Amino acid sequence: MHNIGVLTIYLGLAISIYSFIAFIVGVIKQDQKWVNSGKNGVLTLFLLTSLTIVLLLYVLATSQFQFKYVSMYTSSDLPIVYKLSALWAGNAGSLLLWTFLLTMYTTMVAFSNKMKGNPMVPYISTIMLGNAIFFYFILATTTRPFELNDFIPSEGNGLNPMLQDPGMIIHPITLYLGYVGLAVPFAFAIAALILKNVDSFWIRMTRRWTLLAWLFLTLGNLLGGYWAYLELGWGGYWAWDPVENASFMPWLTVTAFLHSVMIQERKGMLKVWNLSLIILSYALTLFGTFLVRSGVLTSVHAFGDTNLGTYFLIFMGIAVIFAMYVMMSRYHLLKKDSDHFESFFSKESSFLINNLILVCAAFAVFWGTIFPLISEAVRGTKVTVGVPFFNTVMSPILLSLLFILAICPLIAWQKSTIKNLQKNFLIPALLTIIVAILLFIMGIRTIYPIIGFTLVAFMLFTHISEIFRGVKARSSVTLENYPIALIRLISKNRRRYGGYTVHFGIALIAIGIIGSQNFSVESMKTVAIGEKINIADFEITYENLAQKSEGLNDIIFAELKVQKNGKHVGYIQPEKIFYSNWQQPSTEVGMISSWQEDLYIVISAWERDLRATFVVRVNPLVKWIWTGGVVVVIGTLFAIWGGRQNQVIPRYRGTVRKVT
Amino acid sequence: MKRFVFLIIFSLLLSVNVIFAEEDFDYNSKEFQSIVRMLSMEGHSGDDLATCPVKQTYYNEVAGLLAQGKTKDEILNDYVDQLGEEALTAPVKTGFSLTAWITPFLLLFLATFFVYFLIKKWVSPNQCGDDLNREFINETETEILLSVIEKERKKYF
Repeated sequence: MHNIGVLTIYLGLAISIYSFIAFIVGVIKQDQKWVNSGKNGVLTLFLLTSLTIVLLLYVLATSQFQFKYVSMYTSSDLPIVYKLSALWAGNAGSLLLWTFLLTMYTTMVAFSNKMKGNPMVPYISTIMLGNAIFFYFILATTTRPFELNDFIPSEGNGLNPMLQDPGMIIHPITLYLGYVGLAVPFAFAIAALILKNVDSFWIRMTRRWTLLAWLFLTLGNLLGGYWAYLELGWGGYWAWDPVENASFMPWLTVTAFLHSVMIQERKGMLKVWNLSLIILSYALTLFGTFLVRSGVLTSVHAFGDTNLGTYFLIFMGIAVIFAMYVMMSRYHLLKKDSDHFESFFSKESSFLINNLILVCAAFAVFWGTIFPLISEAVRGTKVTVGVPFFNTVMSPILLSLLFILAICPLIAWQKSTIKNLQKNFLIPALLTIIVAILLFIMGIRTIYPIIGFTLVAFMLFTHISEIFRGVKARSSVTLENYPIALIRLISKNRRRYGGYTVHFGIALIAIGIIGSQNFSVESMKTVAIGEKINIADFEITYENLAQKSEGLNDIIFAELKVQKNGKHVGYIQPEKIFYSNWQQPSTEVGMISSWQEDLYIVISAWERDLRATFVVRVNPLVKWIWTGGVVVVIGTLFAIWGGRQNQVIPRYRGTVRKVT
Repeated sequence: MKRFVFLIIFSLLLSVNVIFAEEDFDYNSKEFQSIVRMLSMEGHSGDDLATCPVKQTYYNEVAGLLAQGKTKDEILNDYVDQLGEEALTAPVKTGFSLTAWITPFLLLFLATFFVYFLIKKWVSPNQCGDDLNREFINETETEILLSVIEKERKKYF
């Protein structure tokens, strides 16, 4: 098994290099045979990578502890699902997964029906293969998945208990799908530049790829937050950890890209900007990987025990310099045929401002993440940049983003007149003022929540108003009733209304974040059996402390009766789990969740007389965050799938070559 | 048996740690929380208080300093004096560390000016004149119109 595994990796490296060369030779000689050979290489590479990953999954599932990776991340008592998910618990496995996804995407592009006969295919494949070579090089030289132990241990180290959670099965995969997915628009963009195709073809072709990558990044971040909230027991869902930031930065830049491409599609403008954004997004995915693997920054996510970070830094440098060089060499073409803006007040301008804020937000996160390194390099002083910094810096930036999000839908393309603005904004603005007054009457006095909730309300009202105007206009022309007009209106433009649905989701997430960040209450109390803890409207009675066994694990759990405003609402059972092969116990939060708030209880400690210490939190509106996440997913899927718009294959008008 | 002993020892350790939490100071007070949230506690600020001795030491110290009548700023300054800026969860707002706070906003400010002048440059003056009499383009209405035309076309052709 060892030999086969190692052989597949060396073969993978050799085939990726061969295919890379075959495509280049095919392009230089304009010889289709070479290009076809390269394509066959791509397919073989994908099959080979699939075989490698199946082999690793097999040795993980069968607990073959002669393999270092298996003994480091699994144990024989681990449930099969977690043995398999150990594939992405360490460097070697996760990089193999990355390589698998990359070769899968490369194959999908190289053999895509939509790209059949397109001269960009060899170029795109070459760029993606360049990435595959790097990953195979790493797998063959630095982090070898099939490395053997010097002696075979009788038992493995086991998987970190915190990773033994359903959320942790999906979270890393979704993030990888997002990260690797960005390689596709990046490769299309660079291929288009090399071929001197400066129109919007690459953008139209990769729209769904980019949306899908964005969706996976969104899902990855949300699932990570959900997991942290339930598993880590500190009561939060986002800690501005360097690695969390690393996945948030490309999310911000891709969000900017998804908006700014609309200007290029409509007016042929912002070509350089869009290219820069996709290069930046791709570079940020590599930067994130560098952060996780290098160990330069302290993070709960870090793997960093090798010199992998240096390799990633070098690769990122090469990719960015190459991409920038290609872009600059085509700068004169990119500047040609640009349209102009019709007016200062237009949707185009609002998209530019949206981009400005999103990119500045990405920069703020980047700056905060690397500032400890900068500080140490410049003056030799270590600093910690944590939650207080990011909350202070990001709050005004993200609030201004909410404002732009609110006004964008009601501003017309090309030109908005004052009359138009008054007509569109009057009712949403009046309703928003009423909401602000209501918030004040309800007793909210702090500035951020008032501004935040008011902006979210404004955003919701402007979106509803825009949809209502559309339905009314359609109904008056087609004589359809309102529900039919609504369905037909949104199904005719899935892209726009999918986008609006995503905005609704963002609004819900914002409500949850503002509520939980500003109004959460925490209390830590030590109580004896029968005693009560009072927090907010809750009265919690500590009823029992007991121990049970689940497999090889021992669980200490408490039973707590919960009443709210005198009414019984249920029982909560927070747990502390002790693992046979892991020193640190893990926390299982006890929670009662509602739209209004989460009652969140962690058992911290206990004594022989059964007195126990509980950390009790009331986190308002957290459920809105997860609900918003679901709405974002629905909106994105709606925008991606089905509909006439999505079936249209953009016409290629670029350079013609003999090889495709 | 080994695990049972481990559980007992662990429980005892926890019990020793928790008692002072209840007796010495109200750790739930807003003032106290606002101070401890600013302390990185050598990377242990996110740990469980009941099980983390480092965090417990910090909580004790802060409680003691508050009992001495020190203010939040004085306590945080004390830590910075002793351990350097690393003691805090955010850079201080003086000297070089000030750049951490202002750079993102400075960039936002400069970029706003840049975008303003860019849009100004891109708005063609001739086009603006023409547009005074032109109605704004409403995407939704255009789409509805197109869909009606399409429906009629299918009906008659």
